[in-house]
Amino acid sequence: MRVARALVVVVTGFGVSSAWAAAPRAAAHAASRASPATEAADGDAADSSAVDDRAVDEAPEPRRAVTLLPLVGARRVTAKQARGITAQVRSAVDVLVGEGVARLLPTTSADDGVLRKCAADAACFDDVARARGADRLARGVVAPGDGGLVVTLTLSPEARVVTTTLDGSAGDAARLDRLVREAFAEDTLRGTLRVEGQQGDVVEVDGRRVGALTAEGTVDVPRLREGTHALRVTRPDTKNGTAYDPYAHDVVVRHAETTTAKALLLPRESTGALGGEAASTTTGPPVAAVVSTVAGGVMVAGAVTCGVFSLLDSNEVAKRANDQQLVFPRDEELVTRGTTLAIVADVLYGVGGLALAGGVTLWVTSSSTATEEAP
Amino acid sequence: MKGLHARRALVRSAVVGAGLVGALLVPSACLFLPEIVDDGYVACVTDADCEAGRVCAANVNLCAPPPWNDDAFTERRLLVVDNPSDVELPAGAAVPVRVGEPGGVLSLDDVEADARFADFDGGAWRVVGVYRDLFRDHFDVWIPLSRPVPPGGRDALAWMEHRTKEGGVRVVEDPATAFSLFDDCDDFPIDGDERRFVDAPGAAALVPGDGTIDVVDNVKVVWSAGVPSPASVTFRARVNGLTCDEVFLGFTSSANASFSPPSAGFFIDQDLQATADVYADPNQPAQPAVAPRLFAEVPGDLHRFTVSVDGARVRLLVDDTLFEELDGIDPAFADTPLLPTVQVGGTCSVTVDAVWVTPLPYERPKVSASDAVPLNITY
Repeated sequence: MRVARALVVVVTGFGVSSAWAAAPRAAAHAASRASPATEAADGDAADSSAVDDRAVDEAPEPRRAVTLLPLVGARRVTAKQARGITAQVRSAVDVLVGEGVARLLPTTSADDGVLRKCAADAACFDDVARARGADRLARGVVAPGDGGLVVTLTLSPEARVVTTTLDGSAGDAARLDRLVREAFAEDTLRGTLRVEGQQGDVVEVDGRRVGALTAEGTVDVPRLREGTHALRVTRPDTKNGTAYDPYAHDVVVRHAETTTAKALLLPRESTGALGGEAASTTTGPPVAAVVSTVAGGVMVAGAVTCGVFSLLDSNEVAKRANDQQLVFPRDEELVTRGTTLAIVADVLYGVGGLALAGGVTLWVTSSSTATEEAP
Repeated sequence: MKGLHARRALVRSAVVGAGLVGALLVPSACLFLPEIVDDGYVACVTDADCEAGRVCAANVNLCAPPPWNDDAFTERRLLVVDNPSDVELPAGAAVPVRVGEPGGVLSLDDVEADARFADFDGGAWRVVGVYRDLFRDHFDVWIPLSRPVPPGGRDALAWMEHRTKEGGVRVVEDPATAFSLFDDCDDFPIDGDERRFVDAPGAAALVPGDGTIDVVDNVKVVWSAGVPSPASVTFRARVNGLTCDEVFLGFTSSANASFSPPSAGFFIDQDLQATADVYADPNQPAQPAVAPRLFAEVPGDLHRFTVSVDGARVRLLVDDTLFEELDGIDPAFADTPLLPTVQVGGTCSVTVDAVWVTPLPYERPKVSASDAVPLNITY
């Protein structure tokens, strides 16, 4: 009888949807193929020191003992359909078993009886789980819903509920995979974060340095738990002393997907010009240096102008004197103006020159100081 | 490594700063110093710091020529007088300036017919009245000094202005002004015939009226406004006839007594043989005996007889030709006023065309002319 029911389950599974039945296996196969690839990538990253080992999640995942009671059909879902769905779920759990993160306890003939016995008492399922040595016991219901069959698993002893909707498409395999992982091995919900940017940029995830961008300008951070992570990309100062603001954004990593983040780092001057918070840390020339230099330049230019006009007056005076036509008081204004312009030019030369020299010196000194203070 | 960069930056900034300061200090020596010293425009505080003819312009403290007097005259030239003597030339003393050869300060081409003379006293212009002594091929302009010239001193005599658009005669010819030292000559007591001077227009020592006066036998004409030594008198006169007897042209010291020392002049005797008659003192020893001679090759022409007395020195000239010169006269001529005198004896006469007296010393002032300066109306 146990064998016959098992056969029924298998047959029913194929009968419901060959695609549904094949999907978990394909996913498991894909996962089994992806793991070596991921390990290889990790190994490459480790070899090149591009990815820090700490990026891979902390503690080893627990290998939970789980059991799955047959799903029950609700409303217009027949028992046959429910058993088919149950078979697909078990196939998905098999993948977890294959990954070594779960150990599926065998079904018993008493499962149906347990369902009936504990139908009215949720704590009963907790007792059954303990009795069977299961870390988690899942029971479920399959009911029609919007867009397909809604599969709901209720977990004991946590009384946690996970659900998914199957629509008969190829995506059902991924949905079932996700369902069982949420139910039995939520730690295995992991995705990959790909960071694109400039070679050498240092990548940190959740405050941990995970590596630096390769010559191709990318780095992959695999096996990140699904969810939101804090990404921070920094760039060491370039040889010309340009400093860049770090790229810091939250990224959402989804299970079995690769999330790409393009890290665009802006020079601090640019962010300052854009009015960002980094404005207070800009390293441009000091205002005093600019004002002094400009003022000095203007005064020197004025001095040159006055000097030229004074020189013109001087030449005119010399010409008239040579002709013995320099007479006074007629030419007094000419001489006085030339003398005054020369004095003004001298004053402007002196003050402007000092201002210009001081401004340039202050400018250069501030630049050197900024270079010295740069990390 | 950072320290090395910082030091390099500091060195670079220091070099840049020093370069800028140095580059700016060089042109900062911007002074208004037009090259005008060689043209006579030198710094001054007072007019005494300036060359003759230049004044110290206020506010700019530069020695400069005076402003143009009158734009109608398009060219001017400064005449400067040097006093090489050891006595001061008083203001008003007329100084001769020869125009034309021989020995002219200016050539005839340098002086247009519309020339006039003016003086700038540091504050205003004044046209100066002059006296022109005309010759056939040249003329002398007697210009009175506007200011005294100390011994060895130098001053502007006058500015000659000419080249007007309209032309014409612009000179102010005023012997009374030219010889202003003798303004009171109108009151000359005339010894003999006062009528000859009735029409005298106050022309100082010049002979007035029709321009000539004939001094005949036994007549003595004395101009009583005397001047002490040094003094110089010029008679533009003609000696008429050959049988003269005791004709005298020169200085005497008495309007009444004849040949009363001190006196100095020409003594013309028979056949127009002339000698120098010089007595500074009644007790003066006899002069060195010089043989009488004709005072000119053509004695009947109009000649200029000049007698200069300056202490122990006396010079007699006939038409700028030295006739006699005495030095070391002892005792010398004192401060006794000397009176221009013409006295005639014998059957001849002396026609006097003009007489002028100046207090010029033995060492005559020297006049020089600067380059002509044309008016440039574009300035």
